[in-house]
Amino acid sequence: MDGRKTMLQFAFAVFSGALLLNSPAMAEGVAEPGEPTLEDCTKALQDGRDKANKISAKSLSRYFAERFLQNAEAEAGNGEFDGCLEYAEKAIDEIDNRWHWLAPGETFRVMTPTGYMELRGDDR
Amino acid sequence: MLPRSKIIMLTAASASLAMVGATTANADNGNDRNNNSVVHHRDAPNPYVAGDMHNHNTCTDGSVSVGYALDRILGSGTAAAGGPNFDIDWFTLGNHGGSGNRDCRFSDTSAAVPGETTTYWNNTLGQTIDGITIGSLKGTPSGSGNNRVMWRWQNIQEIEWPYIVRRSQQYNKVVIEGLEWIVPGHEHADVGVITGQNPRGRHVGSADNMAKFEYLYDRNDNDLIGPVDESGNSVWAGKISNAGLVGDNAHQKAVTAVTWLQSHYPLSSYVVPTHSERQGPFSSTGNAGYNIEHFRDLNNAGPTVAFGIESPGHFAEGGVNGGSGSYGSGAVGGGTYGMQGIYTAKIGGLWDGMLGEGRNFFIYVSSDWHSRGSFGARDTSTTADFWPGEYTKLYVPNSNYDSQDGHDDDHGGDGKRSDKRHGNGQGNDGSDFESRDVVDGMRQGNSYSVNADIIGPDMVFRARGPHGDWKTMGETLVVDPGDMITLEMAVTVPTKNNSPYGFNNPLLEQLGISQPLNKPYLDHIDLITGNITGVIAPGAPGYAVPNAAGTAGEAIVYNPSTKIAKQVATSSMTETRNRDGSSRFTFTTRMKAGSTPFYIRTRGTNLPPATPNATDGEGNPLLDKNNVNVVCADPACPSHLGKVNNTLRVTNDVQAWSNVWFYANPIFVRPANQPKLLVERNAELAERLADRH
Repeated sequence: MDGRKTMLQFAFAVFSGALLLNSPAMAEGVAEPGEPTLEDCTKALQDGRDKANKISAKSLSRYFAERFLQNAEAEAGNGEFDGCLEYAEKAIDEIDNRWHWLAPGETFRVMTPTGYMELRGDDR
Repeated sequence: MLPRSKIIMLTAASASLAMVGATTANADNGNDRNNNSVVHHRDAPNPYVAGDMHNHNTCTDGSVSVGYALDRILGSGTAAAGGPNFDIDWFTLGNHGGSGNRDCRFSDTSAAVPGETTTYWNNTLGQTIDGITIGSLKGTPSGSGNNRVMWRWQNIQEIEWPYIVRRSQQYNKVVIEGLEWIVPGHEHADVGVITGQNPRGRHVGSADNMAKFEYLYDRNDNDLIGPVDESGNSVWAGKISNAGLVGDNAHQKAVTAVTWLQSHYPLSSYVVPTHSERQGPFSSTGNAGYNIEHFRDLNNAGPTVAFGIESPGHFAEGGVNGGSGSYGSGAVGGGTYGMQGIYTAKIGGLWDGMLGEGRNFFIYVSSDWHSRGSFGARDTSTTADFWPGEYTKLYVPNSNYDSQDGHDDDHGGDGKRSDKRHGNGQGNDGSDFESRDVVDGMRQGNSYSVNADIIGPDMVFRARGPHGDWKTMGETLVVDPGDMITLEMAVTVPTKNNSPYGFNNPLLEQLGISQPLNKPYLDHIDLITGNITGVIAPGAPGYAVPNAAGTAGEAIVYNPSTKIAKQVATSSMTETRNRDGSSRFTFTTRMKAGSTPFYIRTRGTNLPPATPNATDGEGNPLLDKNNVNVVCADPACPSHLGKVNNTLRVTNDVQAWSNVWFYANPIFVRPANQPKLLVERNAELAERLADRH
C-alpha cells in the first residue's frame, strides 16, 4: 500500500467534512454576551485550516490538527460552540508546536475503511 | 472455607474514633441475611454489574452511529468489521441535549467504519433506513442545507429509542435512554427518566418522558414548539425559554427542572452533574460550572433524584499540555488528579464537604465516549476517549446475585431494595436485573467506580457494630459511643484489562517496578474518614463557598476533618489466588465509635505514595499534567504520544493505562444518640415514596 497516497486520500475525505460550516443558518443558539457563537467557531476553524495547510501533508502534526478540526466541527454541529473553539485552539497549538512528529524509523498507523493508512518518519 | 482476613488497625481515624489493640482473630462473617461474604466463587454471578451512562454518537457530537455504537458496547468478541466489542452489562445512552445536524443512522467518515460516510438529515429525509423513516424535522426550523438540525427530543423519540428497543432485545441487556443535560446556568449533567421505557417487555413503551425533560429544560434546546397534536398545538406545556437566562436566573431553571423530576419521577430518574470542574467555577453572568452551593440546591430540590456527581471521561485526551478528562488549565483544579476532578480527588474537597453534611451524595464514573481522536473507531489506540466498558466501569448491585451461591441478595443492605417493586420493569426473560436496579443502585450509593479494571465486579466494603447487620456503601451504621466497629474489605484484581500495550508502566518504572500496562496491579487501598457536622441551611454561613479556576481551586478545603485514616498495602492483605489467575485481597480493621457521626470511603490505585510526577508522599494524586515529565522509553511506546525534547512522554492512552484508580462510595456511621443523618432521612423518603406508588 502506498502509505503517502492513501494518507492524502484519507485526509482529504476526513477534512472535506470540516468545510461545511460556512452556512450562517446553523442551529439557532441563544448565545449570551461573551459566549461563543457560530461565527466565532467558523472563524476559528478557518484559522486552523489555514495553519494546517501551510505544513506538509506528510506531517503527523498536520494529521493530528485536522482531526482536532473535525472534532471542532462535530461540536458545532451539536450547537456546542465553546467545544468548537477548544478543539480549534488545540489544532492551532498542534501546528505551532509540532507536538507530534515521527523520527526516522517511527511509524504511525491508523485504520481506514479498507485497510490502514501509515505515516513514516522523518516528517519534520 | 473462608480465608483468614488479616486484621489491620485503623491507626489515624477521625476524631470520633479511638484506636484499639490489634488482634489476630478473623472477622466474624456472621450468619445474618445481610452477610455479603468476602469470598466470591468465581463461577457464581457477580455481586455487581458494570455499566456506563454518559456517551455519544453522531446524533450529537460523537463519531459513530447509534446502532454501531450499541453493537460494539453490548456485543462480545470481535465486531464483524473488526475491533473488539466490550460486552458491558448495562448501558445508558446519555447523549447531549439540544440538536444535531448529522443523520445518526450513519457513522462519521472520520470513524473509518467500512461503508459509512458522514450523512446529514438534509440528505435523507423521507428515506427508510434501518427501518426508520424520518419524514420531517419537527419543531422550530433551524439551519439550512447540511446544517439543518433535528431537535434532540425528536431524535430521542424517533431514532435512539427504536435502536434501543432492538438492541436491548437482541443482546438481552438493560439499555436505557438517558441524556447529557446541558444545564441552564451550569456545565452538564447525566439525566435518566426510565418511567415508560420497557424495551424488553411485551409493550416496549417509549422514551417520551426523557424526551419531554430534554425539551423543557435543556439549555441548548431552543425549540419552542415541540411535538404537536392533530390540531397543531404543542403538547408539552411549561417550557421556560432559555433566552436571556444566565447565572442565578438560569440556575433557578435548573432547580425547577430537578423539582419537576422529584415531583414526577422521584424513584425513576436521576440527575448527576458531570465533568463539573471543566468550565471553571460558576459564573453569575454566563453558563459555566458549579459551586458547592449549587450541588446543595439541587440535592435539596431533589433529595431522591439529585444524589451525586460524575468524574470526567475523555481519559486519553491528556497531551503534553495536560488535558486529560478534557480539562484545561481553566478547570477548577487546573486539570485532573488521578483521572478525577479535584472535587472528588481532593481529601477534604467538595465531595467531602457534601458528605460532611451527611448528604446522600455519591460519585460515579462513565466514559464520555465520543471518538478515538486521531484514530478510527476500530483502532485499539486512542488520543481522546475510550469505549464504554473499555476503560471505565460503573458498578451497581446485580439483582441476579443471590444467597443460593452462599451469598446475600442484598449486598449488606437493610431492605432498601423494597422499592424495586415499584419501579418500571422491563425484564421478561427470567433475568431479575432491570433498569430500575441501575437507578436504585445509584440512588442508594451502593456503587463503585473503576478505571482500567484495577479491581473486579465483586468488591466488598462493609462495616458493622457489635450487634446487627453489616452496612455497605450508602448505608448508615448506628452504634453506641464506645462500640467496636468492624470494617471489612475484599477486592479481586483481574488478570488483564483492555489495554493494547504489554510494555511496562512508565510511571512505575520510575520506582523500579516492572508491571505491564495490560495487567492490572493494585498497590494499596486508602480508607478515608471525615466527620459529619450536619446539614447547612440555605443562606447560612458556609452554604456558599467561593470557588476558583485553575490550581487555586485545588487549595479549597470544604471538610477539614477528612483524612486518610489508613493506607493498606496489598502486601499486607490476605491474598487468595483464584483459578483464573486473578487475586482476591481481603483485610479487616476495627475502630471504636466516638460521639460524632462520620463516614468512611475508600479508593485504591496502582501508584505507590511518592511516585514521582504522579502521587504525593501520602499517596494523593498530583495534577495529572505532571505525568508528561515522564519519558515513555520502551521501544514499544506508540508514536502517537506527545514529544518533548525529542522523547515520547506519558500522554494520551498510555497515561490513562498508567495512572489507575478506583473510588467507592461511603459508609456512614452515626452514634445512636445523634439525630438521623440526611442520607438516612432521604433513604426513608425513598421507602415512603415506594410504598405510596
